[in-house]
Amino acid sequence: MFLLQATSSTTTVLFLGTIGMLVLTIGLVVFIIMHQRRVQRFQQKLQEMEIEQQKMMLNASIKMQEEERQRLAADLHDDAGPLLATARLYLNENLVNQDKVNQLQSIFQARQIIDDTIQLIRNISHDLMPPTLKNFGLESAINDLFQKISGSGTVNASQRFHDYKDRLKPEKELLVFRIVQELINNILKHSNSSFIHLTQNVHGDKFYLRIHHDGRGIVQSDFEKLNKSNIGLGLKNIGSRIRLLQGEILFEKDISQTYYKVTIEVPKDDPYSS
Amino acid sequence: MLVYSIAFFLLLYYYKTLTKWFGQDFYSTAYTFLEYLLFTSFIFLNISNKRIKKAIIILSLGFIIFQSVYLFNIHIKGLDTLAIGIETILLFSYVICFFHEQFKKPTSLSIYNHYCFWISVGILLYLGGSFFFYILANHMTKAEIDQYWDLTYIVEILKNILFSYSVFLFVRQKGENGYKNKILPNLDMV
Repeated sequence: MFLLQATSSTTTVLFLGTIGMLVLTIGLVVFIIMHQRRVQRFQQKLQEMEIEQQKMMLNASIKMQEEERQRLAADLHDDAGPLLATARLYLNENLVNQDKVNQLQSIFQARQIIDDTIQLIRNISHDLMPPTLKNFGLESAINDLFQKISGSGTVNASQRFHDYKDRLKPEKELLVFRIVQELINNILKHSNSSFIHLTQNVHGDKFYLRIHHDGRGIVQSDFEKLNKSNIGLGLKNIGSRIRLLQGEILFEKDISQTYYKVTIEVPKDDPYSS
Repeated sequence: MLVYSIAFFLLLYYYKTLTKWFGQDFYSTAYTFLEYLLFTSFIFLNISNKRIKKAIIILSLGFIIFQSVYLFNIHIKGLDTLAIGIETILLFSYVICFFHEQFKKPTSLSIYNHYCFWISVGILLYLGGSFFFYILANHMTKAEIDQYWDLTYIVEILKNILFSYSVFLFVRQKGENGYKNKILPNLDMV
């Protein structure tokens, strides 16, 4: 009797245990498959978001290029074109029929117009690629830029480089200069500030630039929001350049709440790299 | 897979001869050891984490030592139930480690497209389905064993079907990669 009971309980344990193990095993396999599907869906979504972001950055970059070309075309067409056309008017075939005084006056006028055109083209060229940057470095290029801004009389722009004995690589200098240019443009266009002050320093293996201004500014959260939106092309380009430099940018309001600061941090060049 | 198929075919085919020469206890131990070795090798070859691989080696050595001690010091009547129980727990742990590693890999390929997944599922179903039977085998009467032994064939068949599918997947994947790596001649239109 006891043996019968024992054997029937063994059989019960056997069947219940086997069914339990099988249920656990199947449950584990199903869980693994479902979990992996969830992870894959999430990864796919991330990939799609990344592609979307890259598309936006590319569009912003192309749009910026087109705007730059349009501005260049407009400058040449609206300014250089009429000037050269006017100079041509002064130097027509009838000049030989005029008296010496009128001839000299026409030549002088034409020369003046051509000089103005040369200066205009030089300015356009400098805007595209400032020779000061290439020949004398970032400090001189920013100094030139700030002198032009201060020269207008509306904004007081100044700069101070504390430690720039070792220049950055030319490619890096150009990127940093473009970032500063874009930031300054934004400040002049949108912030209505009365002063802009730039400071530079070096700490460890990092190169720092900070722009202070007292107008309407943005903070880091605004920068990130604008970067993700369809507007703010200039800021998107700043973001791309910062990423290229493997640097960081921080938009903040000073503790005194009287001015805004934009800090750019860029890794310095490896001293042994060419 | 070929080695596994041949080894177990021979073990089962020559069951009577081998038990007559070496005894039931040696046969059971050898069967369990071979089964453990082959299942572990599948998982070992597909895990990339070095720490888990080291742990598998250490645990396997421990299992071999345990089996040797168990075989020579304890007279096994019937099946080596304790060794089978330990084998099941170890293999379950290895399979869970394999799945955990697959989760962490960023891949667009689904886990069930990996041939080792189906080997692991086969191992889990086979061991899970027959675990209690093998553990209680020495406590059951001969009549019960004769009555219920055939049920273990169900999980055995399931395991073999899943192993066959994994071979199919392995061969198919190898074929696809082979095409990708093929060097094509210049096919430009002239």
